[in-house]
Amino acid sequence: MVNAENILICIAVPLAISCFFITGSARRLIYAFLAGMVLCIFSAYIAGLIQMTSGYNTEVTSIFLSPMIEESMKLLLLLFCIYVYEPSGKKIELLAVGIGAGFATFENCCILVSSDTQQLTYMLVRGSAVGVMHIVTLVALAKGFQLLKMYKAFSFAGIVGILSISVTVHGLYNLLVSKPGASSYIGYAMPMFCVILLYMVNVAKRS
Amino acid sequence: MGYLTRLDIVANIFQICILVVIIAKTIKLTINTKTKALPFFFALAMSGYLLSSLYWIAYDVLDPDTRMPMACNEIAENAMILLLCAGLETILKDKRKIAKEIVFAVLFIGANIALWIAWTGEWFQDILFGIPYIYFFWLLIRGLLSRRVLSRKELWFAALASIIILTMQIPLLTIKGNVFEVTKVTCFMLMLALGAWLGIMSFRRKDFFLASTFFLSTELSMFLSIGIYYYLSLLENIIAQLIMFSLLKKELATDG
Repeated sequence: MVNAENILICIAVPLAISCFFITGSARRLIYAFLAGMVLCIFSAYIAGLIQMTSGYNTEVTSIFLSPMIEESMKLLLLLFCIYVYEPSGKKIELLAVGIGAGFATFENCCILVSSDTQQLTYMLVRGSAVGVMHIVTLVALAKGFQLLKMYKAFSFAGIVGILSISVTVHGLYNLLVSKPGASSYIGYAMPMFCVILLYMVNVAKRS
Repeated sequence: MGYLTRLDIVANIFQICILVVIIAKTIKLTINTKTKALPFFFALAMSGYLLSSLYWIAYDVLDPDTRMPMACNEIAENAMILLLCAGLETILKDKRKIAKEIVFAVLFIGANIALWIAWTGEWFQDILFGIPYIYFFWLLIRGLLSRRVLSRKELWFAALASIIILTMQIPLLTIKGNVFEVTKVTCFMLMLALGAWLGIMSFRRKDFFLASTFFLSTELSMFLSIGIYYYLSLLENIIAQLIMFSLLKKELATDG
């Protein structure tokens, strides 16, 4: 049993205080980071509620339901920011990275508290796989939205379509790492592979 | 691992190979063309389909011969349908929203959804994931009508054949024995024949909306088929993807 709210307060307060002394994109990043952490706790509560009402066990919930809930929550927050603050392309990416990093950091903190932290290899894998996955899916979502805006095709079908792709990538990752062996190695490598792919897209766009 | 599971994996690997080529070619097309929206959405849609196949293979390998508690790959297939819709929206000139087209789309896909529920019992999932198909079908009808790709007679023929196929699926749920076998063979042969007809027509008329209709018909056939008929529908589906890609190039050339 982890008191997630206590951990949230412990991490969030210093960050929130720091916002008084910084401005511009640094402040925006911290806000997004905090929002990502809050989103993580909400997602966990919703997943727990659905697990209780649907009767699925913990494994099924984490493999099949969590990706849907987490990605939908992240999308809703990103959409809220896009519609309310109307940020430009660069700012959308900044928000996405902040939300993703906040989400992943808070999830990792809860895992660290609830499980054994002796194994450095596990922690490394956890940090560079799960942590990266949340950032990757959100950056991909943001990039998708930027392109939708650019092609003047910001429609409901397009938004939900891109969301569904990020849910499937997340779901595929969860499925692959759920069983030990070769599949888990492929799963752990997947986020890094996606990072390289996104980076290549960025480089190609710049050139 | 059972024979059918292994066959499934092989079929999905084959499909992945085709999809990778299509996606790579479409991305190249997106970079080199002026009208970027349609190829962009098409590439994303095919990526969704690729993810669905990858998910299917991963599940088959990790948990062979079991049914998924929740079909996550259907989310990817929904992504594909929605992104195809987003792409079609960009080239659809028809702005009419005529009630009878919406009603027909709802009834037709609704009947399909009812059959999926009867087969699987997963009512919530089937209804939720069926909604994008209604929108897709509605867009296709509007595209076909506004572009006058099919004559009135041909449209009636396609509608009638689809209704007959759906009606023949109902007794398959209840009857057994020789009658079941005869009905099954007739129904699935008709389904494949309708798909083949749509394929030939889209190849002849060279229209992206018609090719998308062919694609949708093969998708629906796959959902309703079993055994060898499923793999034949899958083959038609792969052909539909290739035709769609070749007609996408034509669509862009016309636009440019």
